[in-house]
Amino acid sequence: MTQELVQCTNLSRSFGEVQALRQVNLSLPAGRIIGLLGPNGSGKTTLIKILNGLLQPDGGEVRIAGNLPGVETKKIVSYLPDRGYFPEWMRVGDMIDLFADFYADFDRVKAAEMCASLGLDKSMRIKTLSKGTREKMQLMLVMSRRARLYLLDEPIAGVDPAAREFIMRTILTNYSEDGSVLISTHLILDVEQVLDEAVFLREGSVVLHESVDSIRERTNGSVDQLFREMFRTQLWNGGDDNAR
Amino acid sequence: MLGKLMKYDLRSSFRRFGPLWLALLVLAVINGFSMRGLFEAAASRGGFARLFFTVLPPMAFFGVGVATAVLLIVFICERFYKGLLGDEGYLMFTLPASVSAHIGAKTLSSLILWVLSTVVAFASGLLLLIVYQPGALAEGWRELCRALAETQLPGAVVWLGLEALVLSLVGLVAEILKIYASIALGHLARRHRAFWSVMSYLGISLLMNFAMGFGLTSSAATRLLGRLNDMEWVMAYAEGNWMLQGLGAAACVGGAAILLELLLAALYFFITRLLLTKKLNLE
Repeated sequence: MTQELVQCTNLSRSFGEVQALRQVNLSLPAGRIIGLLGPNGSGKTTLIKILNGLLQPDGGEVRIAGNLPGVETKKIVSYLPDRGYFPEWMRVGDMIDLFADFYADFDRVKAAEMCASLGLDKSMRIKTLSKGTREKMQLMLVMSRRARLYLLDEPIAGVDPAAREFIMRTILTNYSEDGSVLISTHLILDVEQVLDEAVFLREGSVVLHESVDSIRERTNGSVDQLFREMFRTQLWNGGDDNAR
Repeated sequence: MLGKLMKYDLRSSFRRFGPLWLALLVLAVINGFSMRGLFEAAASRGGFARLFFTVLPPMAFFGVGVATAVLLIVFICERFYKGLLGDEGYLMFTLPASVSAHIGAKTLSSLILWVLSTVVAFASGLLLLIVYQPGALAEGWRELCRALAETQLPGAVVWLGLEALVLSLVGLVAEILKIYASIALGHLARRHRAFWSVMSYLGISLLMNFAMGFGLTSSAATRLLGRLNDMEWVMAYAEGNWMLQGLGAAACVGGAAILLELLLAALYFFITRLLLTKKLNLE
């Protein structure tokens, strides 16, 4: 029997009039790479923030390894947000020290190896790094942990195809194999090859949760094709009621 | 975890305030020399030399002192707002530390920063005096020791001094936590969060002033003051009248003030903790 690592039950969250998540029920097993897929504004980031305890749900609950988001879950979750969070005054080495100080599962050797491959020197000031280098550094820190759950929010958004390949390779070669990886993205083609499962979100609701093999078998196509079919935007016909 | 959080907070604080503290101490020395007239020869030439040696040092000393005080308050607000509720919050709130540890670390770091700034301000004054009149400080100290030895200071004075010290520290903690609670309340707004934080601070201050005024004139407070009348260490019978025993009464009021500030600090802490636990919204 597969052990569930993440369990969302009737999870809801709204921002004013906008319902970001609607009664989400979702179980994610351990040891899998799962794509959290949906167009912009479908609720991916909201769900990931709730899993991290950065947002509180209006209703329902989420449990990670049996615990509500809190100190215990933060020990086993490695999170890559969709924005930079570095204090500008720090150096690369300071951030490595900070992660090693707080996370028992942080691997300094792996961090040093990744720094070398990224061309990062510990003495570099963060404020002198380019946006792309900062993103890679953030990824290095997150993937240097032997976490049970990696939550990666749009890790390949806004970077060129070569960088996307590098990022995906970094994730695949560095994640702890008994852990799960949840990757949120709308760039399906770039992640499809590595996914075990796909979760489709539309307007805050889970509309599909299926293994990638099963999707391919069932539809005779790729996850990307299915995504395009399900999320195809209706063309605006100029307001002509008779136009069909 | 508290210690680890404080370590990073204090490093960030010292980076900002270290140069200011150093500037304050250096300017104190320059001002001391200036006051001793060592620069008189240069100043007598007039023009730029006069400006440089006699006008600028006291202005710079005063300016850096004021800047340190203003920056201190701005920095305390900024470290909480940006460090926990801005982009850095994505890092801090995903560390395996409780919300209480985060608030505690920020409060203690701010307290340490405040105390150190006060010590540096005091030290710069002493430094200025030492440079200005090298023998005066030692003479003053000898005078003070002699006066203390001759005077039979009642134990209550020492007690009062300790109370004053504790009260200022506890009062400072309560004030810092009031700022944090106001920022956490302002964070509930969807827009103009800085504005709503300031409004929250003013609102809390008004509410507390009203509550204090109401509490002091309430019947319970009157009854309590009536009981104090019966205590001989607060009131003494002399010349046919009950007189207030100054030190005993002051100690009593000081103790009550410490207790009140502790209660207020606890209240602000729990408001902040509640909001950051239940209403955290990093957008």
